[in-house]
Amino acid sequence: MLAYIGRRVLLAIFTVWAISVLSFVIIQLPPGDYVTSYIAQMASSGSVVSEEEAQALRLQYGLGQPIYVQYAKWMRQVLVGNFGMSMEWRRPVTDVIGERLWLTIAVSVAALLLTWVLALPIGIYSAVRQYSAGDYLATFIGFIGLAVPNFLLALVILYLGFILFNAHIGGLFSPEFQDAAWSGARAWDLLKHLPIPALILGLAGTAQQIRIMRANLLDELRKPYVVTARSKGLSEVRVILRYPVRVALNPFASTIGYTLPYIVSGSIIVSLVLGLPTVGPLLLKALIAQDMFLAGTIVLMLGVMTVIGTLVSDILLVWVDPRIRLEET
Amino acid sequence: MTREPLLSVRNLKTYFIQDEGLVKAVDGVSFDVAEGVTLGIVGESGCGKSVTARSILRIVDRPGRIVEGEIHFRRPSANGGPGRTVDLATLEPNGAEMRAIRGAEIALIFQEPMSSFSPVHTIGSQIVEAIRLHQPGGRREARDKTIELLRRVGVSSPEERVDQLSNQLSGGMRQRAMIAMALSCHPTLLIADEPTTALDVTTQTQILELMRQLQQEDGMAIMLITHDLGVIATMATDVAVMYLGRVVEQAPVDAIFHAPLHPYTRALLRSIPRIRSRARLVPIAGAVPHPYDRPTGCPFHPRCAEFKAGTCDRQEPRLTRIGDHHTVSCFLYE
Amino acid sequence: MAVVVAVAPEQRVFVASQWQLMWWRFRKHKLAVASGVVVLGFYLVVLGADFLAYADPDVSEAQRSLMPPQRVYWFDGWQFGPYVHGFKGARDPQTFKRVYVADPSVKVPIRFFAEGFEYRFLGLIPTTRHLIGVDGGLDASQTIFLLGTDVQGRDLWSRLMYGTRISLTIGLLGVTASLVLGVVLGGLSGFYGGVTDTIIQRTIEILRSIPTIPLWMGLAAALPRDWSILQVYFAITIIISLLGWTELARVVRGRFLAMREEDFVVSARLVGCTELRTIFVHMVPSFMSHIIAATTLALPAMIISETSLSFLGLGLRPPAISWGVLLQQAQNVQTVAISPWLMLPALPVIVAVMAFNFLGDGLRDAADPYGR
Repeated sequence: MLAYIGRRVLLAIFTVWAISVLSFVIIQLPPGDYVTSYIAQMASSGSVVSEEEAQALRLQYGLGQPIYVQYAKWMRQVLVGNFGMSMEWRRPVTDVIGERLWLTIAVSVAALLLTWVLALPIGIYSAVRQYSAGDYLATFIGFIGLAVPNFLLALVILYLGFILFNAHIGGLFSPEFQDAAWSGARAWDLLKHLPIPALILGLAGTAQQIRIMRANLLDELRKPYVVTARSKGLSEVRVILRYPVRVALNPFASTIGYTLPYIVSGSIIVSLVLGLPTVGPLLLKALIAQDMFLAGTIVLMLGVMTVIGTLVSDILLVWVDPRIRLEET
Repeated sequence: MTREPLLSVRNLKTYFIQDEGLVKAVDGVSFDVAEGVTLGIVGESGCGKSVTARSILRIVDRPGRIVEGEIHFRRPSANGGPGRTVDLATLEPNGAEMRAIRGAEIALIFQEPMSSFSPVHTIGSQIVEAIRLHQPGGRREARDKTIELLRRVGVSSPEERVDQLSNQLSGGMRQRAMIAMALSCHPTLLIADEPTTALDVTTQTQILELMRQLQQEDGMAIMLITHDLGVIATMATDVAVMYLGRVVEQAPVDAIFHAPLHPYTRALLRSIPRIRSRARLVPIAGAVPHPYDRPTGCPFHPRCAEFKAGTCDRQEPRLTRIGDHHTVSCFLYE
Repeated sequence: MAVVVAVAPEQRVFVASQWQLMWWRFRKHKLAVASGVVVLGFYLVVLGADFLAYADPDVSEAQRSLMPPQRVYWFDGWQFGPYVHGFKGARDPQTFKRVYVADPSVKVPIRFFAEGFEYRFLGLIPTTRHLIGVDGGLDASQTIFLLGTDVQGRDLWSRLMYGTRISLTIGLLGVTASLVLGVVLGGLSGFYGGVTDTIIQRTIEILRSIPTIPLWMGLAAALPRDWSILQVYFAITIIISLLGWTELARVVRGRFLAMREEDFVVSARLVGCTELRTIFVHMVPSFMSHIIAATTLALPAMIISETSLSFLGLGLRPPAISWGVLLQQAQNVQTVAISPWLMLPALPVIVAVMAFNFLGDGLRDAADPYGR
């Protein structure tokens, strides 16, 4: 078991490294170096960067040195929590991102939880009552979930809300809490606003997980150990929940980890449509304005956050599947 | 024997209703199992042996269902008296009474020792579950009982095995554990569906020996389903021969081997090798017909050496009593 | 004998070729067959987009901005003769919005195989004929707007036809690139196993645990602004396929692993076939069908990716036309509430994704004709 968790942690570290390289590439991609763009940006707004200041910045990021040195220097800064300056906002990147990262996590986790809560029972029902009306309904909704890109779904829900209730669905806070300090009331307000974005973000993953759970469980239901359990005299509900569902949970849990990257991906674009104060709209603005430190940092943070989430879900798998727990090597 | 049999199946019909057509997997099976004896049920693959077993336990998978017939089972009574007889075919498959019988009074062991235990639960927890379901007592007590059972069926170092997963056990060990689970509640009837088919020959002999020994100790009746006449010869007291969902002949084991009546039984016996015999093996002509396409009349007539045109392909033979304990279903004896 | 007769129809199964068996199985899957027809229809639109369009998709006219779809009257009196009413644009004196009123006195007949703007049919034959059009061609005073117009007054139907061409070919090209990557890497991984396998598998796992959209956005945003439509088109295709190959590689590797030990592969090796020959002559044909199914199932993701990126303004940019570019106009809910037809381009996205999914499912089930 320790070996398994060790392997997962190692892979997570590798992934984080790969993400950091990719983020660095994104920062480096636009033509011209950061300091030159920074000076130009400052000049266009009337302020002047002194030559010493520019020199210090060049030294800090190793400009003019080989690319791997630049990467190392950047990483060193990142590791001590210095993500650079945002040119657009003229503030440290961490300041600009602020609570948006936490709100992104809140939305993603809510969507992931919703995926679990919905996909598990619906998948079980669909398999046990195969070809029933409910099964067909679940399959149909599942296909809608797979076929409608989540930003379109957001658009449609927004439109329907506007037309039917003349209400602007969207955002994560009511206007009076928008810029308020954190309090119980603000958290409650957030909680009230979460379901719709979570549902939109979670639907595609839920649809996929329902299909996986259904297919796995259908396979398991045919296995002889189910007959064994039944022949012991267990009630049907107990037979199904204790045996085939338990076995089918394993591939279910191992694939649900992969839904987190989807959800995080989706949150960017859905946030834009729904006007959620997450890092999504910020990333788009930063990319369009070529505010590369901000953009690179957001990509890095999203990646790291996803890796941590996936790691947690992998470790959960150990709890679900004793075969891994007992694995020795 | 004046006492009524433990299990008496009458005209049982289990059909599978599918889009492609109706499969009459079991089509009018009748046989008796007396207390404490072993009834061997023999027949080629696909003749409805397993479905018969599952019908008795009422665990036939959809779309199969019992459409006709009676399954009389005598439930044991607390004081050792004759007990009460119920018709299992009329019980609710998942009702309380059927579940109380299933596992406790009629137990099942079957072919695939590889996959008949859950891969994610320990052997012990699965046996403990069966014990606690039907017997009073706590977890601790059930666990001790489980270890005792495993020891009794010859599982080595049962204290360790009890906490292992099924894939850590060999096929023979798994089948022993399966037997331990089946016997955990002292059933009066044990249905063994091809218990040794998937095992190698040495293990096969050990498992059969174990079953016979346990039967002597506990006195339960065994319904042994197999396609192996050798297994029948060593284990069974009585034999029922099945063909295409019907019992074509039932008799004591000696009568089946030395004075078989039905042409199918005779053909079956001719197709097994014997030591010290130089006679050529004679395979049964043709193959078992497709279940969607059953022959009319006697189901065996297209392959029968003694086929009488106009009779065998028109009418269905009835099960006729020949001797005291010998019944056969063939026009030769009507 | 009855037995023989009973077996006879089954004999067909034994002599049928692998592809024939698959076709029989596929045919049973009605939804997949219907989806196949839909997909075929989509690709016909790709081929004949300019024939099906009746207006130049780039010609804008402020005078007819955001016109609603017109109602088509199929019968003129008792005779078949589809026509639409003319429209009068006016500005609402209170809200200052442009409103359009149908003018029943003006009938604009719809002509079949009418003259219109010039294009090359299938990229080869220069012509001015279109499926439908109005009398007078380009100089006509009245014209038709089956699905209304966008903010710049361009005809949505015609733009949708062109958008279909771009969106579906980008999907197809993207999936082809993914397929090449997936088959090569998945094949190497499955055939050699060992260290190669470990490295490739870990790479796949890493790629799969990274959220893709931010990465795409980062890469797409870095594309030089002065690139031509064609350059951007190929760059976007490559960006999408770079992250889309993992699933295909997984399928190929799984097949390879399952097949490596099969008797016919072992015997091919034993008689001295080179490794390349073993792979391409003996192994690849036997899981070709699985690859086709997996490819079909990978297409929807490509379509959605392109649509998402273009919707964000980071993918294809106007004047290129794709479904995502068209949907960009629907970003604002206020605009959509007034002109709901701007959401129409969502429909082909959804239909195409569903059709590819169903078709892929059917193909996958059929790909294993001996299974179950």
